[in-house]
Amino acid sequence: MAADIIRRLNRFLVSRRFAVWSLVALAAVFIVGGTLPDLTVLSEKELSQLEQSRPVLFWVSSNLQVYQLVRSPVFLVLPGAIWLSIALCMVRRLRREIPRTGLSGPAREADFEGAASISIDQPLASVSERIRQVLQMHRWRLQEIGENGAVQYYAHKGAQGFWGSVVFHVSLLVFLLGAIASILGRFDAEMVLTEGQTLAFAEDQMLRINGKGRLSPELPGTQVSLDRFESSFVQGKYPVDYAAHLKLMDGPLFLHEEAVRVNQPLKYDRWQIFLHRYGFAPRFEIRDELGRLLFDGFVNLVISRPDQTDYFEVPHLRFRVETRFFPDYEKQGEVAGSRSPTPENPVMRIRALVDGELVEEREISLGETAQFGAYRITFADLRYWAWFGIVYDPGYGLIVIAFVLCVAGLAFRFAVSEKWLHVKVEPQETTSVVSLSGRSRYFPALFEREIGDIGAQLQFRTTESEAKPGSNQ
Amino acid sequence: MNALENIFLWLSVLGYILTFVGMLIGLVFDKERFVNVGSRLVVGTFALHTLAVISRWIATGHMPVMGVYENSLLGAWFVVFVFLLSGRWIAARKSLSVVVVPVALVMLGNGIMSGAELEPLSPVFQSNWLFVHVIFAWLAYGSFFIAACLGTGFLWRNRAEAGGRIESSTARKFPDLDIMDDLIFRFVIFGFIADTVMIATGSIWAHGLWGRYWGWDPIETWSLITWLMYGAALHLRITMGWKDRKMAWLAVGSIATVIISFFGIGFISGVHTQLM
Repeated sequence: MAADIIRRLNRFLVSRRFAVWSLVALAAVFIVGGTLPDLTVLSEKELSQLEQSRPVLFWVSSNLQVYQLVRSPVFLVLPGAIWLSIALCMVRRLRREIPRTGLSGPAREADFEGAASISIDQPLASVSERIRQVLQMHRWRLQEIGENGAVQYYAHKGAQGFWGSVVFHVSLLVFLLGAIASILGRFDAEMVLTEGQTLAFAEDQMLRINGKGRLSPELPGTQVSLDRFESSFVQGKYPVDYAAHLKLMDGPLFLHEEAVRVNQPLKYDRWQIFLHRYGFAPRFEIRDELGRLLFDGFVNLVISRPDQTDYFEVPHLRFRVETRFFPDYEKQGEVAGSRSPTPENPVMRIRALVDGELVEEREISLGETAQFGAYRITFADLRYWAWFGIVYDPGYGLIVIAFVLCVAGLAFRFAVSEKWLHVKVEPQETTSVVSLSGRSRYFPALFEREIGDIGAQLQFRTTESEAKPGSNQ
Repeated sequence: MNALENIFLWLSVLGYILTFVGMLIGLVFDKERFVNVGSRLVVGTFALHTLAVISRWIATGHMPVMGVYENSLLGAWFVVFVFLLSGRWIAARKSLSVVVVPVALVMLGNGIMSGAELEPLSPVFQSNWLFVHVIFAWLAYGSFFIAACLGTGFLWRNRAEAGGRIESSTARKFPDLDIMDDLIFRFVIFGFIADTVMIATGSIWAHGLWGRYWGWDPIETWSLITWLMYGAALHLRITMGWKDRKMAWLAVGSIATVIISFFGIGFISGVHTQLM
């Protein structure tokens, strides 16, 4: 009974229908998930608006995204079955192909298509020799069959294309292995550093850990500091470069120093550090009426563009500071703005609230102090903060190998097109009649032209030999 | 957009419109002269289109790959380029321009409507993988479009032949059905290989940019859906012998995934929309 089930399952998995329908099923699942908006890139305000205006879409988008579906055990049965199907098919094809010797393909004349027939004014032996020369020149593998006074050639080429298919399907297995390696071993976290700040390169110092596979290694625990951050703009608005200069130390021992840029991550040991975002980190001093310092620190605000606003709270004071930053302040009439994104003339517009009530709203420049109700706020300093991604992914190398194999296999498979040719030479008085027919595995219509070309070459070659001195006296 | 680019672009649009009108008149009213003129006009217009691309490249200092306008400008160029290249195999290719040229016009129109502000390459796009990714994307999409056009031509001619109307039909100028069937298959193969390279280079670029080679972003997912659909089409042809009308319908139907991948960038939120 078990053996029968296994046999049926094997037959099902290696069937052509399963191959096609499994691809279609996979595509259908992805169509459902891929049509939904990606909620991870929406802001809190946008998420809230979506939830209120389109609650059904919000629920569906929250629960049926592709990255959620592909983690579902129910879904994983499908790629698992595909992987098994590919492996079983590979074994089956290799067992059939490897022991094969000699030529193979359509056995009967009736299986050939696209015929051409030419008459050559030469004896059978000469014509047969020329056919061999022409076909071998075009790298056909020949098998000669002589019967009833006629000569027949059975020619085959492009059999090596089979190995292209093997390499391509092996690449699909390697893709899956790469994905498994990533799932088991990938580490993905985020950290934020302000200029001049040093943090331990350890999990408890990470802002967020997005994923940690069961077999992922521990962070080394060295120290990482952001020396400085630089941004370059063209025409005052188009960004052309961002660079975060990081230093890695192990206590007093210097380990590594490098500028992390977009598209140029820092590589240290097995880890990669990517630059994701940046912003401004103003330092505020808040004093009470008696001049006592109540708050002094850098605040990482999401205000890299002049239109952005952000806030911070000082809970023990019930104090909320809402900010809008103008890196290169300029006022035209009553309208304030920024000439450029670089902090040439930094001004902070502050709205101070106590217990939710607005106390004061005004603008202060870097180094200035202003009164906000009972508190004095000083805009003391300005630095950059940078947001980094920390990644280790053991599956990436396998994925790259898989891609190379995939493209190479496909290109080889279809560049080497399998074809068969049947050539029959029959003597008729002083001439020989050559009949050509062929079969192309993939391109029968275009192969008909090729058969015609071969026929024309035989004619041409015959004419050439006639033109040689003394060849046709 | 600078003045020179503006001139070349609008001349190209005019050229493609005249080509389409000329070819349509030539095919419908059986005026061979219109077909011949239209065939030469598409080559001349392609040259103007090339000059528009070069002008844009010089003005921005980078390959035109940023934003909807540049992608449309370059994408339409690739569609026409693949079509003109196909003349090597299709002797009767010129009549198919009545299907291909409108596609290029729609793409250009979509780009022009989106605005054409000149911008330097932002840090996110400063990667050599981007250029390889975009080139192969357009080779893939161009090939799939041509396959769909051939599929449309096949079905048109097949219907005329089946109805005994081929002598009086415009479709008699299309290549023979068996040639078109072979060519549909060839263009799907070429597009599939180019699509694979596009996905590969996109993944490598994404890993260098974001630290992950695949994130199930909607555009990434749709590019995978396109790959799966054309993979299924190849399987149906190779292992189950789907040919002729079935293959033509596959080529025409599968182009929907390409259209969603290309035009859907602006409508489906994800990291790719943030980049655009």
